[in-house]
Amino acid sequence: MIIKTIAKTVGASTLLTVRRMGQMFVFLADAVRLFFLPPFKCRRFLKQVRFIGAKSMSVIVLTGAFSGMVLALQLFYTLRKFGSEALLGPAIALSLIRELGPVLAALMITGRAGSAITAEIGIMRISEQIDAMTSMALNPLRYLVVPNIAASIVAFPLLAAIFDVVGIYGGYAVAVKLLGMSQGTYFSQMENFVLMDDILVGIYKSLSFGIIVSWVCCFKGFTTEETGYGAEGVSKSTTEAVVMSSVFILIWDYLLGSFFLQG
Amino acid sequence: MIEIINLEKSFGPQKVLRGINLRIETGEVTAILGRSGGGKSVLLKHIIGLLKPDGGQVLIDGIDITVMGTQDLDKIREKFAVVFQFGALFDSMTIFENVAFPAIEKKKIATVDIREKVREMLDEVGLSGIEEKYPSEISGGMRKRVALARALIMEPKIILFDEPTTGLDPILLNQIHSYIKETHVKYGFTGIVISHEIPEIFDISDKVAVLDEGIIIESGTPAKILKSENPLVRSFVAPRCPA
Repeated sequence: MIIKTIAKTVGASTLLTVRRMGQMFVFLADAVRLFFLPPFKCRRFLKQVRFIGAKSMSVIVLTGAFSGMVLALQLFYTLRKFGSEALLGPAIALSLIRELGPVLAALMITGRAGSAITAEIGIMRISEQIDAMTSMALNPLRYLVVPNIAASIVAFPLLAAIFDVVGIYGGYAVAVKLLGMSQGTYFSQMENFVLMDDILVGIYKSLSFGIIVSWVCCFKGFTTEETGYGAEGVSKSTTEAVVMSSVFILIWDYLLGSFFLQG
Repeated sequence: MIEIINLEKSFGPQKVLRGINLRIETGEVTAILGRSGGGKSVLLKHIIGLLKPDGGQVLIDGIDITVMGTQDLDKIREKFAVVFQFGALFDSMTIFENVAFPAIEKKKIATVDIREKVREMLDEVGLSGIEEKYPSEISGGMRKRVALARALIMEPKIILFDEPTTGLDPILLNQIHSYIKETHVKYGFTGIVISHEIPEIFDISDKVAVLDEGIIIESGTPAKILKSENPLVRSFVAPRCPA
């Protein structure tokens, strides 16, 4: 009897998870199809580039600077044990460009813009604005999802690049100004060790993170009513969107990281 | 003509529609009355294909929309406009942008004429000079009238009204009803009005259908409904329409 109940519960939750995953992929497939089909919502796209990109600048600059500074302190401490302080510059640059820049920038944008996207779409869902759009024979995905995905594809790599540059200068401030390292050593070693491939890895990662975050956040907003009702539903779906996006970012980062290391 | 045949819908274990049968004639205003939570809005969402039924058919001019894909459904939806319960105005857009939205997106009105058309529609519902305001800056009654203006701008053949007067005072209620009546006479659309407002709704309806427990228990002219011997209909109508 107990085994039957457990099997039923596990079965039901598995079926629900599979169904939700299926819904998510159908949602993404629809959005990708509309991505290439006119009419394109250029004004909405530019508005979202501003919202996701330009308005996230301050938080990206702040977190980028402190990430670089912390990295400089930690790596200096570690490298000194091996007598390799000269490699501090490239170590900071490679860590930021390949890994921390794309990941931390994506996590910060998820918290700032991703949550807002879910909340906005969620409120539109519960106040029947999405139904109103559908009833006008207009596809809400074209207006609410495609511009967000397109804007994220543009904004995420740019913000990650800004994060990297600010982080490298944050590391410079600590390494050169605080710890007394020579400026030449910090930058010249960086030039020798950071390759174009490393930069491309960072760009690929942030591009894919942009798609993941906009996809998950838009989907959660669209399906707000499945999470709960009214304001509580929006709050739950926003939380779920941020948590799910962050988890997906970290898992996808590991998968991409191992793929590029093998490559 | 809209014909609903044996329409059924459940949400989980809860059966909301249990076999709705209803015929809505072209050019008429049909009111659907019923208790709150009785499935009236769910029925409305089936008529425009926002929900898929578990069983039954919704025929729009003889075509069953319940089996249609999104693209075909969009062609049918071109005939419709919906005035939602709370207006469903786009809150990040101004009133002008809200009313102009379907016209701009459908490109059926020349861009140079849109501003004039929006002004005309807002005048039609007794609102002018609020074009640059946002929905949050106007009252609930005004939002409903803006929603009506937005519905009218494409001059649809069918307009669905989902409780257009809920929460309004009696003066505003009569005002909204008179706008529905006047615009119906002017544009000749087929109207479906979900309402609780008895007896006021009888003044603007050609036909009334009473929905209870997921089925239409009686339908006919307002006079027929008022004289109905059905105890359920009487319990709904009589307290507010004493003989």
